[in-house]
Amino acid sequence: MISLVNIVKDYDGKQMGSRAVDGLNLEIAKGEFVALLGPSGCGKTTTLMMLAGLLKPTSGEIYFKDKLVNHVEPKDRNIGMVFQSYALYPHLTVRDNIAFPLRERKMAKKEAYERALATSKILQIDHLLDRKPSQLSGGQQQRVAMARALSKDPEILLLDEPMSNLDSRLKLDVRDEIRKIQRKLGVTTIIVTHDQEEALAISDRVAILNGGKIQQYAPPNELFNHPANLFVGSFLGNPPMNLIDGVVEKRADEQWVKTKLFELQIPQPCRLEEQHIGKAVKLGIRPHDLFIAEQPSEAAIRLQIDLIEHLGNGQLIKLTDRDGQADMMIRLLTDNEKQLKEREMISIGIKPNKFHLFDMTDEGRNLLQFQ
Amino acid sequence: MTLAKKPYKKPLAKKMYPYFFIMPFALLVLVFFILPAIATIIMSFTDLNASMKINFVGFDNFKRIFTDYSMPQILWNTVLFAVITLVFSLFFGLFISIATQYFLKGKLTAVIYRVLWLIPSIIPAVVYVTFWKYLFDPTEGGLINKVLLLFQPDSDPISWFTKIAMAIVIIATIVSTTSGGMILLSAAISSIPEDLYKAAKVDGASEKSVITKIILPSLKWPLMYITISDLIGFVSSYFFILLLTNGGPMRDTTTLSLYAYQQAFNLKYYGYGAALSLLVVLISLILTLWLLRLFDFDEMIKPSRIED
Amino acid sequence: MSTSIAKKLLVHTYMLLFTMPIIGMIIWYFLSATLNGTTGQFTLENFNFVKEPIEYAGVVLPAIWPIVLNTLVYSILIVVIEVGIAVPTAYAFSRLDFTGKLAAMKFLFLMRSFPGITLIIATFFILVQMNLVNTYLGVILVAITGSLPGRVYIMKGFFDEVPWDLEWAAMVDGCSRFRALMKVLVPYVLPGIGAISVFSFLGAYGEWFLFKLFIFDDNMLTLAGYLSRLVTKENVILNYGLITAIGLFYTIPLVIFYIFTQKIFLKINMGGAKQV
Repeated sequence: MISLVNIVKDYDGKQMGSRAVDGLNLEIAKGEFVALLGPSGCGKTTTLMMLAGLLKPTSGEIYFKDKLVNHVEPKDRNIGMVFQSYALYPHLTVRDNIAFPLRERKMAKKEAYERALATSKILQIDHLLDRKPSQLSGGQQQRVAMARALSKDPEILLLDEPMSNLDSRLKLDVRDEIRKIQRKLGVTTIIVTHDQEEALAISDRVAILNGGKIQQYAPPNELFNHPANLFVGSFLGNPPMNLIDGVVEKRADEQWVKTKLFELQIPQPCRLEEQHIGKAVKLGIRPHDLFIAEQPSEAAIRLQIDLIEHLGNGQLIKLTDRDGQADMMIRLLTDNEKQLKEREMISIGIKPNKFHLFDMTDEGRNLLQFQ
Repeated sequence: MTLAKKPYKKPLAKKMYPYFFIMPFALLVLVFFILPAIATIIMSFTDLNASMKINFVGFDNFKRIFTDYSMPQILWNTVLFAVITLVFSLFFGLFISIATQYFLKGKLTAVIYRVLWLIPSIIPAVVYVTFWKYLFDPTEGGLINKVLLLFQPDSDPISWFTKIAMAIVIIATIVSTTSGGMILLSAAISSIPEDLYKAAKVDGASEKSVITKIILPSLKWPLMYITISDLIGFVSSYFFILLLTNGGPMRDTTTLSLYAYQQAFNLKYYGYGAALSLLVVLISLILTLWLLRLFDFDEMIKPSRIED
Repeated sequence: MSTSIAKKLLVHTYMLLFTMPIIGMIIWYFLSATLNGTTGQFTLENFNFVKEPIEYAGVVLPAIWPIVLNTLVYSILIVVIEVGIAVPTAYAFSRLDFTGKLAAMKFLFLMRSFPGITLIIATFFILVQMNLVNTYLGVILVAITGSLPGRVYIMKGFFDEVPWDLEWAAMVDGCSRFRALMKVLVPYVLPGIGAISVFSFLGAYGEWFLFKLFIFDDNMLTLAGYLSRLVTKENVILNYGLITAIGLFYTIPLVIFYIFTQKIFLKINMGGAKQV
């Protein structure tokens, strides 16, 4: 449906040579819901603007259904778009806002209003049709913006941080609703967001961007369980992944990761290539993949509790080694049942195969491939 | 990684499109600003006069400026008029805006004072000057002469426009131009956060230190702006003088720009008038360029966020 | 608290003192126009000019109503032309990219502060060459060239404040840039268009200098030009009653207009203070 091929976008002007998007490739299937996720300045909004045709790629090609659209005007792309600020036309009523794209297609007024009414019913705003945008709440404005984007039956729906101006409870409702409507209409949808929870919850596939490049493009589960590189690993997940410096060692036929505090055997099926032996790596373990061991065992790691944060549905424990020699801080997520005290020494273990190894290159490639 | 072959280039039609929007304005500027500017320069090297014959005379007109026996007085008039008017209208503008925006903030009286002071600048110049003509009328019909006559019934009416013409011109100009500065200064003062005053009060600051430490520093930019733009106005325009005294008596109230106007339109010495104008242009240009330096153009010019 | 009252009193004293000439001026206009110069009785005879052409300093003046009509026609023409040129120009400066934009903007700024009046001698000859002396077109062209830079600057400020989201939305919703301008941007900057219209109207209504210079036919004068001819005819004004009466006739509609539009008026004047 949509292909982005080697897209590069340079902004000229004051910051000469600043590259917002750097060789981006992306394939989106028909009816798919894709999120572009990344920190601010990663190029996700620029990419969306290029899909809309409001910005033109410096080089590379954009295809809609195998048709090159680089030079197609926004108005001829048959897209619907929802903006962060909703961008409702302040001088028009809700009805005229929703009918605007239809009227611009020279549709008769009567028919346009009928379509506007039908779309507004889907979004349950048909009682607001005679109001002006300034008389609406944030949530209502958001629905009107959705209705306007959908009224013309677009082939592609672009959402630019559509929920960042809503309060957190409303966000959940709207999120579900957008998902439901998208399923119902089957419109290919691309959402830009910096909210990872939102991206993972709503989309079929997520493209994680950083520095104008796609870091990983995969379904949410895969991203979480098999981060392609250090950036994806550390960007996703809240509280963030623990990152510990280590070295790969070979002992007889076994491969081990040695850190200042503990050692970990790399399971047989995913042995590393010889070239990594003796090299430094980053060991990544998510806080919820650590557990508190009941009985101190050989394999367990002894650490002191530095701080306990109650998160409501669990507790986040920050641990350090007692003498501080290893200069290590580890976060562990556990349930509320455990009675713990600060300054207490505990033993922790790592759930089997629940760790990642990233090499020390700039890319920070994930070296392990667990099945 | 392989990058695509050709970078995006705007088609010609889209490149030309913006010029279509500025075309009428650009044409006007070309014909009625740039062309007159060039023509003024050319004319200043000719002896164009009522006979309408154009002879190039080189720098004669400029030499004449330096030998014109009226010149010292006219330059002195110009400086006197511009500087005194500037100083007083700045003072009044500052005083009124501090009084209405700080001491009387939010009071009805503040609004009344401000509106009253705006009136002289709203009243059309031609109506405005009649009041000053009446006030200083040289016959016994004039207000001041009437009042004097009450105290000294035997005295003759005083011919004010012969005696203190410059003072009258200056006063009339001050009263009318103060409000322009007043509005800018009031806006700047009203944008000072209320918290600053409260904090100062808590710290036990006197009114004097509130004015000198909080208010005046925030007026630095508007004061600069008003100073330069008023100076440009006082040096180059002569409307009040033309209406009030027409430069007289003799040349007592003739400023440089009015002199240029008179040389051209009263005496028909167009070439010499153009040379004099050029001098005013030069002064105005220097002041204007100084004013322009106050603006941050990079901040003001933002690129389009839609690429055609 | 007595120090605070003393302080207020002091402020009021100074303010009253400074404001006195203005208050006196306003009172005088009304008295002079409505009192008989010799008897001091209330009279409206100074306003006879609205009924018939009157004589002043030995000359019969043209009737007032054609002059009023001229004023309205001239002012409205100026408003329409200035808005018609300022809006597209400001739009281009605010929202479009073109080669030379920065230089053009700098030039616009230079023009805005630069007194065009200093070029009036040469302008006169250009009008002569174009056969535009003693025509409205000539006056209009010179007048708008002088005032347009200011209007464009104000208008650009209004265009700068239109959120880009809004124009993006219009483009995605099927507009070309021009159509987005007409359907979305212009409605958004309507207050700005109102502001420059008011400013243009006031400027045109008060224009006397260009009429003095370029219009020789008394029947083509506007009210301001007409009055300027009366005021500068003699060094000493013979009949203040008549002149103030015409002055009031000319000013009162303006004051009423001003009262209704003063919010806009203040906003425009702030324009200069915005760029800090």
